[in-house]
Amino acid sequence: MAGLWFVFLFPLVVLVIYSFAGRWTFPSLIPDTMNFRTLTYFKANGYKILTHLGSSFLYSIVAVVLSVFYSLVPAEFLSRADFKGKKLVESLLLAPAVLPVMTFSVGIHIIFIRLGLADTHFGVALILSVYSYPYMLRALISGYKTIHPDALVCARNLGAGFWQILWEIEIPMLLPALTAGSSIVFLVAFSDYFLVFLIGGGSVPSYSGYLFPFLNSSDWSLASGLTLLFILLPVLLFVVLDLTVNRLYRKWM
Amino acid sequence: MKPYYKLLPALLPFVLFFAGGIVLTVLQSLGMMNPLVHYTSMWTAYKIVLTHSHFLVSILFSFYVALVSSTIATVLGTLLAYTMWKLPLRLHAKTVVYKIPLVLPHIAVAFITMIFLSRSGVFSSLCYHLGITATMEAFPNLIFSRYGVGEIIAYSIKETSFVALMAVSVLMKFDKRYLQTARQLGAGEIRIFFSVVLPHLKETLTTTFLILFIYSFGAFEIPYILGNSSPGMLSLQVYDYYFKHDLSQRPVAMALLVILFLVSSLLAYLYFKISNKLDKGGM
Amino acid sequence: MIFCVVLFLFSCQAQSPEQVPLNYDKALKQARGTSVNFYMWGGSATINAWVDGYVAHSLKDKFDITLNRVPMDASVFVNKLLTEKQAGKKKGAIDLMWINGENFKNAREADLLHGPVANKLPSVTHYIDAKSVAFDFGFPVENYEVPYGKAQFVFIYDAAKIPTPPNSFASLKTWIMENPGKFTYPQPPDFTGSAFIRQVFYATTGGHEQYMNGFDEQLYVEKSKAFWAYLKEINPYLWQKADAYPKDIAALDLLFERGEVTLNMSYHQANASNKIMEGKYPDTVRTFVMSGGSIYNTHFTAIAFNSPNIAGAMVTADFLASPAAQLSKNTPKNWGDFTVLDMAKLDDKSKKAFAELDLGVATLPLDVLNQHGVPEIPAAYLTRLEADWLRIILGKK
Repeated sequence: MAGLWFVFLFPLVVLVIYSFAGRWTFPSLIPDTMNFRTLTYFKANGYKILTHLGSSFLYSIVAVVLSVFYSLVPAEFLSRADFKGKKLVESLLLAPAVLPVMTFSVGIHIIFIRLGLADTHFGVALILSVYSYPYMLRALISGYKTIHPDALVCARNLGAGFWQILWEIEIPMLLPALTAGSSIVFLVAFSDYFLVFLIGGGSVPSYSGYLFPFLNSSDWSLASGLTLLFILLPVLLFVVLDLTVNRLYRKWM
Repeated sequence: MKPYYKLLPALLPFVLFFAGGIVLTVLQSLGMMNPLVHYTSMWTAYKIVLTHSHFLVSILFSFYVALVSSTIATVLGTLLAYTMWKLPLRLHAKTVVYKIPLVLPHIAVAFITMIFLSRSGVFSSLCYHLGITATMEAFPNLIFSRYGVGEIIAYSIKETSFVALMAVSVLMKFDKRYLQTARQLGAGEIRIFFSVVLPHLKETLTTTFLILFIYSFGAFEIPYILGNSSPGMLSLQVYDYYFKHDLSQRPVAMALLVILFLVSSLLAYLYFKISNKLDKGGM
Repeated sequence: MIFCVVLFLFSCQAQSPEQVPLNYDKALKQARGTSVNFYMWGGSATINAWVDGYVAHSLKDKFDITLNRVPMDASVFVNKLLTEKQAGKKKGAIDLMWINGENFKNAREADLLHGPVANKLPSVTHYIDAKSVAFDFGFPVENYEVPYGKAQFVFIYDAAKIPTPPNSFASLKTWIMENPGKFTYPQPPDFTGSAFIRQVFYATTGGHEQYMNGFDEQLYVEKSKAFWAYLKEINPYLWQKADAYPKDIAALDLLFERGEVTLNMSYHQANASNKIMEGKYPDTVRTFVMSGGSIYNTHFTAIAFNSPNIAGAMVTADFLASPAAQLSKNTPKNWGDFTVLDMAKLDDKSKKAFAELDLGVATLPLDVLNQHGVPEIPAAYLTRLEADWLRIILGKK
């Protein structure tokens, strides 16, 4: 158990140490000099860092919204209906997340340019949603399977309309699935580098794009600090989401 | 009449962008949609790809990296899952830390691999102090190695967590009493693992392996940071020909992508076949 | 609500002012309150900091222009412009770019640049000697790019580890063989790696003058034999036995900084001084040039054909070529890149300021650099050398 914690947390600890390291050369086991250069950099470039984080956040959220839009109704259908070729359809719909991203994104790039979607936040959110919606679809299918269809029949018999059913029954019961799906889609979109670079063309700020040159440089201290920041946001999100959904759930149920 | 129209919202991204993207890739590989391309035959790009050895080496190299990393991940992940599952129940919540690599972005994992494995990095310094190596040069060059060691290890880190996640979810449904019974019958630990536990995990592990293989075969970000372009992963070749050469060379990049697509689709087909069988088999 | 978000995102594209300013004064007016997207190589934290700091602040204060630096390799953004031209994109994302050499040539040949523009800018017409910037790697500039700076190729070493570095390519070869695994160069077409092989080319084939008259196939084939022989000879003694080359100059810098190789190189003559000031290199690090000559080049900025803000780009390009910016750029703490200005055309105060610049402890004095400087080779040779290097040395068939 202790071994487990050590193995998985040690790399992060090293990153933290590197963030405060000045010169740390072979074969020292701890940095030769330490300084707060990384923190100074954060403060001096705070605006830029926040803009990039915010931009990544923005297109990731839109990607989540899009994925819900794509997946909600089809998930309901696929969770209940049974027809010939259902497995085929389901598999096909899940394919974009299974196959390598480059296979379809590089091909469609030119169309994005012609449609004016390249170099825009929406274009980036769009392409990210294409390869991440399967996670939401899968989550929602499982989620729908936990809702007994009779509950909906009951509600309809009592006079509830489509939107009312959706808002008051389905969505609350789907909340765990929605949370799970949203977390994955958000994480995938937020961490992505290639698609944002391809479709964003440098015009759409992204934290991954901001971080990238540092990873290739010899400035491991700054790179470590910025990487930790990169990891922090999704982790925080997961924690917040987990807490709020659990609290909401307990209130509603 | 079933409400098939309910599938429409999902068909939007799938048909328009995914399938559409693939079709466009194919078309562009044949030299179409590109006024700067003057090919005598539609298949010129493919001819170029199949006759130049460095492309074929790239494909084989990608295959090798994917195979090794997915295998390592599957083995280590299974062992990890098994060890965690055998722990007493009260400790189960604390094992959550193994999921950390899953949350890490790929470029972050590549960076962490680099600072640990480079010749002047953490492991090298450790080896020096443990007396295993006497100088920096004695530590093998893992990051810029032509055997793709850096990429393999980076992929393995992320993928091991994933395998463990998948395996644990299967093991959770497995009755521990089988183990006790086997132990009472006199079976040793290793025998128990291979004869009792493993068969249960076989199909999940196969599907997970396939997913990971497809991923590491065609992904871009980790090789971009840790890899060299000779031989290079297929994705790096595509990047090179699409972004760094003039437009008349694009069909070559597209042809490479079509090959990538075909290989991945075959494996994806296998994946879906097995995982669908799993669902039907009632677990 | 989703609809609103979507609308918002669609409007996240750059706002652009009216197009086609005819002259600098008009451009000044039109550029006020706009933003300029400056695409440039992002591999140097020092240069990035100078652009984000001094340049961006000055542009905002003086001209009310918001500068937006976008890191991207030149070959990649030229490719992007090419794609946009092919797709018929009239308003792109790139305003100004940092460019020279074969990237400039490719951009010109594909008609990707807005111009002629340099002759409209006061900094150029007042302070720059037109003859000195008429050609870029042998290709005519014709005012399609605006002079930005001058760089010269130097080698870097730690005097504490190597008291007397090899100062000719012949002695370099001996040094490499005596110190196996301690030297390498970035893989062409990385800018610095490519420059290194050009240096070797000059040194092994009898100097630069013979190549200045445009590409001569026969001459190239004949002379390059000695060049390939040299590279093949040193191959087995390079870092990693040449199984792998550092993929770019950043990778080589990393190796040098962490002590895995003991000679470094840079096409940025004040780089070593910079790193000493940052505390990355020990202060015993120095630079040297080969006795046979070290290549220098002029680098430029240029405006994209589909720039959404040509006025802003013009003002920015002019500012970068102005005496104030050039002096700041020349200061090693900021960048250390040499100026393109003609000292004879400056006023006395500026002249004095330039003369009194401390170029940094590791930077070679101006007269040494000038003495050994040799011009860059015509771009056609460069492309050929890079392609053949991949084929012959790397074995990419």
